[in-house]
Amino acid sequence: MSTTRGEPRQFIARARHLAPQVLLPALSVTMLLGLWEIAPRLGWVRDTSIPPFSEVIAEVVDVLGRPGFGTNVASSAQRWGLGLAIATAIGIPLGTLMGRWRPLYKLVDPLLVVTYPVPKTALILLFVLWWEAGTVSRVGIVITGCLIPIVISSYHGAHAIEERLVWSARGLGIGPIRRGVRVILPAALPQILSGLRLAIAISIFTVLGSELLIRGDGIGAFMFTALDNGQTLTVFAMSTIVATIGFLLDLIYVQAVRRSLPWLEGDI
Amino acid sequence: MSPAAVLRPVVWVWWRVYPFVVILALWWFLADRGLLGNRFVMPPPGDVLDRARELFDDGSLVDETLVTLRSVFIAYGLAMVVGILLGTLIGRVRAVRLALRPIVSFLFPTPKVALYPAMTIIFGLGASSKIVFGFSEAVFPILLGTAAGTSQIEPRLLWSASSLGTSERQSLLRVVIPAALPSILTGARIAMVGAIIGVFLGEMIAGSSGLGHMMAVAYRTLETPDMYVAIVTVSLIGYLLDRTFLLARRSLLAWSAEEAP
Amino acid sequence: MIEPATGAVTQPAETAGVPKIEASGVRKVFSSRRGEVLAIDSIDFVAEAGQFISIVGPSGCGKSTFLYIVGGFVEASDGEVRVDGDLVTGADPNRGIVFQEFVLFPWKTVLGNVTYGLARQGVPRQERKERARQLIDTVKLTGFEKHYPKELSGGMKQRVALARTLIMDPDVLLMDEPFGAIDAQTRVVLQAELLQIWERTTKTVLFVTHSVEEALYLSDKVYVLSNRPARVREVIDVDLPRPRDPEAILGRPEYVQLHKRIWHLLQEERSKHVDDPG
Repeated sequence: MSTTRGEPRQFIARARHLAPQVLLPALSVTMLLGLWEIAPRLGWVRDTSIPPFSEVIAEVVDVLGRPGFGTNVASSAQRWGLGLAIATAIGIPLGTLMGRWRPLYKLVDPLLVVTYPVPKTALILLFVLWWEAGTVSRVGIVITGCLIPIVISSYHGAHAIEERLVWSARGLGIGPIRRGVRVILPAALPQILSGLRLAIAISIFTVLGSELLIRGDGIGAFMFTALDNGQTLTVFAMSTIVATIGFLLDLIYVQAVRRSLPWLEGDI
Repeated sequence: MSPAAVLRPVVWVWWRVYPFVVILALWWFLADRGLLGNRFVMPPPGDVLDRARELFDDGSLVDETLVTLRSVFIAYGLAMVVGILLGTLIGRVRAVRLALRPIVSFLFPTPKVALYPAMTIIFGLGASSKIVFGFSEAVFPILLGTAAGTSQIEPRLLWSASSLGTSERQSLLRVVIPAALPSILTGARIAMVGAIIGVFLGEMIAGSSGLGHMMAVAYRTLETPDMYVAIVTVSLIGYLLDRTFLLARRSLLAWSAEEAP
Repeated sequence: MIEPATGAVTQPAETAGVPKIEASGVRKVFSSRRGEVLAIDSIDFVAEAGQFISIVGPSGCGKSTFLYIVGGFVEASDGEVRVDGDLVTGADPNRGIVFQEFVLFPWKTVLGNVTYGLARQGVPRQERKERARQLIDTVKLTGFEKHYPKELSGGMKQRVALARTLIMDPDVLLMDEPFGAIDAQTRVVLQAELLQIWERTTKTVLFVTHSVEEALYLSDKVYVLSNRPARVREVIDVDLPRPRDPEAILGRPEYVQLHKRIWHLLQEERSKHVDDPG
């Protein structure tokens, strides 16, 4: 049993353990940003190549305030959201079924293996040839980009389910569809959510990449215009903004999953 | 020879070949019926093959392919070196892991293509920016796989090695890396495709040579068969490299109890 | 000729009268983000050369930790361990270790595992292969040289682990519940083989187990440890004559008495709460 004599010692021990966890990351981030700030100012790199950190941040604030920015973000976000939603709606059932029904797996998996190395974002140019540069192509490319990771992770999740779980459900007289929804899906959830996390990152990549290629409107187009016009500062500001958005979306997703599904074991 | 024994290699080949058959059949069908557009917009596989042969004969296909391959290999090689070195440090040295965690956590979910325009500003429009882009796509899977693998090593494995006369420095190459190899190779496989995608896309968005550039130029000049040649070529390269990787992986991990994907 | 690899020092045991292993006041504290945990309060321990000594105690009491400290894998927070009079500061081939989970190098074959230590010493390839084959014969694994650990059963893996350690000819053999993960029939066989190997050589064996039967069958002395934080409850001499028959000794009155004594001690310890200073 611990005595009051032991408590201050425990506290010091715990603090000694935790202090590096806070100090070291803070130190490295500060050093990195500090370097970003100083290097262009001291001429270590050309400030036409890399503007100092503070100037980029100032531009970020400026860009965020521009009316064009908001509308472009909205356009990109719509495509992204719709594409991701459709890919999820198709991918999870497909992957799950593949995991539970071997013939389907044997049929679909070789196709996935062959199409996996194809640079999906590049297909936007073909999509435009077939369907013009409208919503169909722009949403379609997002679906194409993130479908495979969703299917694969759903497959792994459904495939690895403890068989006895399914037998118990069947023994209780639960029909196949209800089994699918109430037993298989929850059991496969960790893997599915992990794949979804990856799909979020890939889908943002695909939206941005396709917009950089065919422009029109959206964040990618906005960025390309700035690049074309030699507005270095704006390009860096945009890169910073999009990078931060990607990071925040990932963070929000992980936190949302953890909070709404506290029973989930392990990381996603 | 029993019928089953004769059939097995045939079946094996069929499952490897079947996706290509399906894709080609689908392609031919769509082009023939003009479902996605006319012959110009969607040339049938035959036309594309003819065009590929033309480009091969005049050397341009080979040239562009070599440009892309060179960038891919440099990007991938750099990613392996940096990824394994940094990943091992992160996996084995707590101070490094704590210090680098925010940076890695921030950059990992970032769409690297968002950073590509900045890369072209810093590194120019030549191959360097494509290599950097490919590197940025490839380094994270390797780094994370290496960090995961090297951080989860059974301490008693290292103890056994040290009681058999292995110094700390030796244990890195003789115990840590082999034990982490399955995880490293999983990351390395994903990285391979990442490098290809980064280089190819980089060439498409803002480049002057390579298969990606070829596709982008063909798009702008409406030489549509060239577009198909470019994307099919890069896809085939990706497929072959992936297959080769899996073969190498299977032999390197013959001792491993896990199933290879 | 065994070369020191790390911080520990090994000298030929010309120092007569000095015990083979001597631990005084060994204490171990583990610190984590939850604070500090006292794993070992104080352990004094002596082993003369050639003795077979078992360490028993309730689960989680720290007996394995003590073994690791003697091996030089874990550093003691206080106190010291001396082997042949010299301070233990790190691992060394003269103190070989065998773990419960075998801990073979999975990427190496049986031959690769067994020759590993010799390769570190710079022994030429032909020689180490020959010496390894001899030892593989001794542990009755002839024919399995090219197999990977994943293809072997638990008992076979432990034989490989034993061979891998014995090839270094250590003076001290540290064994951490080595037969705990093995089925009962194989365990009996391996225990007998271990005794044969020990009786043929003059190794000093430190054997951690939670099986009282195993401890009494194998050892000259049994150290009974308390619950965490570990202390030595009692040191018991096992005066049963050798060679011992595993079945016959079960009937002997001395055995029954010793078994009762140790069992009683362990029961006392198990019923106390962990971390009880009393």
